[in-house]
Amino acid sequence: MECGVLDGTISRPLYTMNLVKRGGKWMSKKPVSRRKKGVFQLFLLISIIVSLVISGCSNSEKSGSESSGGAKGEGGKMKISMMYPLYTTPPEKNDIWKQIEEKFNVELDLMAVPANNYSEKLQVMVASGDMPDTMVWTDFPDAELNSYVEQGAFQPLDAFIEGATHIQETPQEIFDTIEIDGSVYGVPRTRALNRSAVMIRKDWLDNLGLPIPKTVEEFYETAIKFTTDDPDGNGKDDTFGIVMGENVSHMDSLYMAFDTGNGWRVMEDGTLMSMDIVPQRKEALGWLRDLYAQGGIDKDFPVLKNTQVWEKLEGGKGGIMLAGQISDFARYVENLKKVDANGNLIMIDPPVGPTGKFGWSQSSGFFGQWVVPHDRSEEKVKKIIEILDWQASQEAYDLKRYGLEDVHHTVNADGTKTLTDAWTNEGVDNIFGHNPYDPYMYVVTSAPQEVQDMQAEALDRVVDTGVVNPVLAYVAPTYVDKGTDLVKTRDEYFVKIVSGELPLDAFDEFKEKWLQGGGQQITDEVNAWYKENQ
Amino acid sequence: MYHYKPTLGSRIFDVSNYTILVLCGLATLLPFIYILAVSFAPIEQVLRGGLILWPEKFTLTAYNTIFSNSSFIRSLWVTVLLTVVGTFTNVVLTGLMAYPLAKKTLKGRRVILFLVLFTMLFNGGMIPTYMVVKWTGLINTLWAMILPMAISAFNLIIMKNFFQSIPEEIEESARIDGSTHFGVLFKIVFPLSMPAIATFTLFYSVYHWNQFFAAIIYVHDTGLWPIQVLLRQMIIIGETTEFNQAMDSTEMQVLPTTIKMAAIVVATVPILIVYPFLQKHFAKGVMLGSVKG
Repeated sequence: MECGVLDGTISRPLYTMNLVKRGGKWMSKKPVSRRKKGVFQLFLLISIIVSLVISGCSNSEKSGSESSGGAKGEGGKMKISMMYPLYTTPPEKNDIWKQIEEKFNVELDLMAVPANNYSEKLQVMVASGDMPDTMVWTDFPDAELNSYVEQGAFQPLDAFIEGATHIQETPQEIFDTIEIDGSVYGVPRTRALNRSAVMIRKDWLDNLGLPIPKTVEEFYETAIKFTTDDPDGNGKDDTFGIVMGENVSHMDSLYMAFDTGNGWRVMEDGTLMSMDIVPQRKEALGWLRDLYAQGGIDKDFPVLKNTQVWEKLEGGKGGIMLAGQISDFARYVENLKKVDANGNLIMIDPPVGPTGKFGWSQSSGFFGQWVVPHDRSEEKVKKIIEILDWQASQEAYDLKRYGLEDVHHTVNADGTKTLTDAWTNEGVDNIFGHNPYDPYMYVVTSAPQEVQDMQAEALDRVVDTGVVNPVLAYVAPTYVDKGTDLVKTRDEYFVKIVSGELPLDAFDEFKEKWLQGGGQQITDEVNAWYKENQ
Repeated sequence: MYHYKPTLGSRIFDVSNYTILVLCGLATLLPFIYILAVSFAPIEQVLRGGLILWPEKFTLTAYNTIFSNSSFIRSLWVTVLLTVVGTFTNVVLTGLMAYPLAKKTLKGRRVILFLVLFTMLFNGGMIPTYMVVKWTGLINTLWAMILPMAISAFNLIIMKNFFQSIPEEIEESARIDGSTHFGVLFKIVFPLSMPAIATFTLFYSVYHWNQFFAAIIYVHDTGLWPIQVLLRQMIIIGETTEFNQAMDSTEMQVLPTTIKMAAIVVATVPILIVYPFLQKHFAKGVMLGSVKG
């Protein structure tokens, strides 16, 4: 462009050297769109910052907006919503449901949420402030629940449950376990403390002329014979002794026999040590390792999921399950019959270890507790407790397990009841989220009577054999961060030790890793809490 | 076309090529054959273990059990409804949004496109999304599974590119002949974009068919649950190895493997059937989003 410097004349001012004339004005050479781009970029930056700030603010308000606490449905009936985990068919709005609504004069909204996603749904409901009138808090012990209670998200229920006769049938220890800061914030759904048994093929024992094993040595011998001596007499080498799953599962009674303790073991000096690193655990792993090497344990165990482990027992491949659920026994027997009509599965006592110990890890005695948000009216809470109390009565329990006569079950000549398909399809079981304190709950009512009797008897035998976790109600703060990693390391090491990939002394290496990876802190925290709460 | 005898080298290549491809094909086909076979097999054969590729005896008991369960049928119906209505909504909404964005003369086009791109990278998270759905009153309705994710940003951008590749002259001539904008969109642009539309129909259909998370979080009424929720109940529960937490064994109902497999077949086969019908559009759709010309 002409600057006119060379011939001495100036056709335009010097300051316009880097500018162009557009529409009568001097403008920068950047086209309009590129100039607007600068503004655009500024806009982006601001919107990003603003959105980050806003999202940061809203996340810190966990128990945010309150939903209307006393919502009434049509016709003035109180609306009650109850949320709980669902494992089977969803409940249908049938006669029983309507009966309950009429009985308490409420509109019942039963929110049965699929169990696998239950914790996520719970989180979403609590954090968004849109909580149902009562819901089951499944995790225990749970640091989150404790912190919500401290923030005042849930109401104490002591005054309300004092007069509830059926809820009061719950053993006092359970109330003691769940109380936070001296008050009870949930209605626990009681379960038996011990519900496991050893299951073994009696017909195989008879075929080989073996007695029922009692000590761990006898179990060892029996397991090997099951593998090598063709107990099912079919001439094929297709059986083995003990079933096991990934992460060395189904081994509870064995660990108790070696006295590893449940969760934490009270050591000789009075302090607590995690069951994962006690020397007794090394002994137990050694036993398993030797047995595996000799073929007494399922070779495929590192990759088997629960259902596959059970199928090994049901399919007549494995002969001993060291830790099975008494309620599952009915199903094992039923399925085994389909494969082998002569199969005879029975439940026996847990093995006795080298120091004379035996037993099972005792559970918390309940599964989930009903909590009520703080902003519900007294009237509503009373109604909720009334409903829960009724569900804890024998009358409601019968309805839950059998449904209405002739619709969901038929009564046989000998007084026993048979369930119809309607009971399963309408999800009658799941209309009731709560249950009474029933030590025989794990007896499967749809099984043949003799199986039910065996289950009841097995439940009686294991009642007092539980090994208690001395710090059941406590969550160590370090465990919240490091717990998952520690468990993963443990599982890796244990599987490799049992399968022979690592030598038994790798346990000491694991112990060091465990302590370094946060285990030492957890141990200290647990011991401090234990001392305080003695 | 060979006009000369194929050399030994190329023959070896052909043979090994085919072998490898057949093996790959089999590897992907075998699990499905297994599932089909087990669903028709008697339970005894399954319990005896081993690889089953052909049932000993054709048994329909598993399918009977499934279809006699009324909640399964109802959720199957919900899923079909959800897929049809949802896909239709999705395609129409995506098209309606992509068309104006394809016109360079739209004011604020840059900003809108940026916001769309932004959503692809960042997300509010589960809880804020839940609150938005709640405040718009969609909780517990079928629309909660359709509207929140109605327009996929990725699909929108591809569709926009597709629309941009349609020559302006066609649209102009339609306008000159007196067509409205909507007329141009539905009578000219959509038909010309059939490969894109068919592909997205399939993507959205499969997405809706597999929906379960939105249902669990947003919908309380179990009558509105799509089939995948029920399937998860049937198949996945009982697979975990954590014996103590959140799995209460009294309540678990472990179904025989045959029923699980039959449930999988029932949930997968309808989508498989839809594929061939949209096949003819795919050949053209393969080049979607690529540079025109």
